Amino acid sequence: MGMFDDRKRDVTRDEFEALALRHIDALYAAGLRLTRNERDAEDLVQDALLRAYRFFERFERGTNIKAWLFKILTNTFINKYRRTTKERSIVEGPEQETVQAHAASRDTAEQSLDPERWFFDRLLSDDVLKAVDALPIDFRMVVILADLQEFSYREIADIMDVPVGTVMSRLYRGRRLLQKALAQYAVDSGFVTEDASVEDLAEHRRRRAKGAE
Amino acid sequence: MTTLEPMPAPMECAELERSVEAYLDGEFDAREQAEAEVHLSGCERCRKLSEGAAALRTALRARLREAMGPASPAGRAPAALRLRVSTALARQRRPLWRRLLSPVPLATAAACAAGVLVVLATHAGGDGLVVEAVKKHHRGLPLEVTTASIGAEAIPGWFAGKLDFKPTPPRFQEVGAKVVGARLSHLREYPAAYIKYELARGQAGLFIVDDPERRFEATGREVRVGPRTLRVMNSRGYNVAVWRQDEIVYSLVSDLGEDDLFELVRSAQAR
Repeated sequence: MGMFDDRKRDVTRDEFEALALRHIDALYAAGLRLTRNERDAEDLVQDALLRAYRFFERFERGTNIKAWLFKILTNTFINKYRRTTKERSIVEGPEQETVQAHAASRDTAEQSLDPERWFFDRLLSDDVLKAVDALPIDFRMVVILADLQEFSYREIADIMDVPVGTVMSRLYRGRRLLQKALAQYAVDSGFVTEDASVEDLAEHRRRRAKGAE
Repeated sequence: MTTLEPMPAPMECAELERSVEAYLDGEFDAREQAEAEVHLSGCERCRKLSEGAAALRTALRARLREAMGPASPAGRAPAALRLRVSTALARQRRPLWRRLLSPVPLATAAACAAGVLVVLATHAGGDGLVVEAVKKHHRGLPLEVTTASIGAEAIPGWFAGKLDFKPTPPRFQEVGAKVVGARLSHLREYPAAYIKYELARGQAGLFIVDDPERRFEATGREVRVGPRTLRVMNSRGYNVAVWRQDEIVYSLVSDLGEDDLFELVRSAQAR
């Protein structure tokens, strides 16, 4: 019956809108960092949400819809946009190491022992965005999912269709790259001075230059 | 350092260093966490390492939230996107609905131009508006303003600026109908004003939508009430009267019998 169908679809759409559209800001924020431009981000989010709506009956009620939507966003991006952008698909080499292999390296320990320099308090949001955008795409995605959206490793693994070990390794490397880039911005803006544990050569030269004055 | 410790194994510095990220990310289970904490409580160096990494994590997250969290321009979906998505979602099931529409008959258009109250021509099955209005009314979502909070007279003004049109709710006072309150609603993707009435013998909800493009068709029986032509139909036990005034479509959903419903609509004309 036409009327019955109509009503059934109304209910589905209402449910979808109530559950899914709450996350449109988060999806857009991630989409914008993936595509790096507003028009593509809007298209990506719209495509992803329409896909989600079409496959809504496959969504298991009671499970995490945000993770499900992010998975669709990621897949939509890979299928449609990544092909057209000049992103390298997979970061080769070191990315494959397990998290155990790189352990906590000496400089992480040293950086961590001296956290004050790492607060980045005075960084401009534009610099932060630039630093995020400069990350290789897989690292960028993992950092956004973990540190902005606060998904668990397991959820990120499901979203990106990779093992948990890969998530950990990408997250570790992504964070380090981001910290480095932010530290560089901080140094460039002149409110953090470099020191031995960051850039020992530069500091060494600076000290020598001072000494020579 | 032996590797043959019995379980639960005291954690060593190297182990903690390896797993400090997962620990700080809250990925440890209760036992792992307890082991890490035992180690941290006895190892100054690892405690410093962990605290430093935690501070770094916190700072990084704060910067990310600032730059692209929901309070930042880069973290908020533009209004245009929300609109596009809603419209696109509505269109997903539009084909059936479209098929039910046919061009507005000339006579109707002429009558409209003359400012006469008309009700749109009947199209079999084109009752989406009514079905949705009934469903929304039945669900009884909380009202956003109530007569108790701002007074009945202030309710039409409350909609100002919230809709692209100015809804002018009819006054039903003659038959003892009292405004209970109002909320913003929508029928399909079109924003609507919703006003709830308490009646002597039941309740009613009135939806007012702006429909200059005549997307809403009404089905049902045509009934003349005073100078007004109504369409009347029943859905899920509610009687619904739909009428149009220029570009505005009113749909009144009630649990009244038809005669009482007509009486109510008639009283609305005496404003």
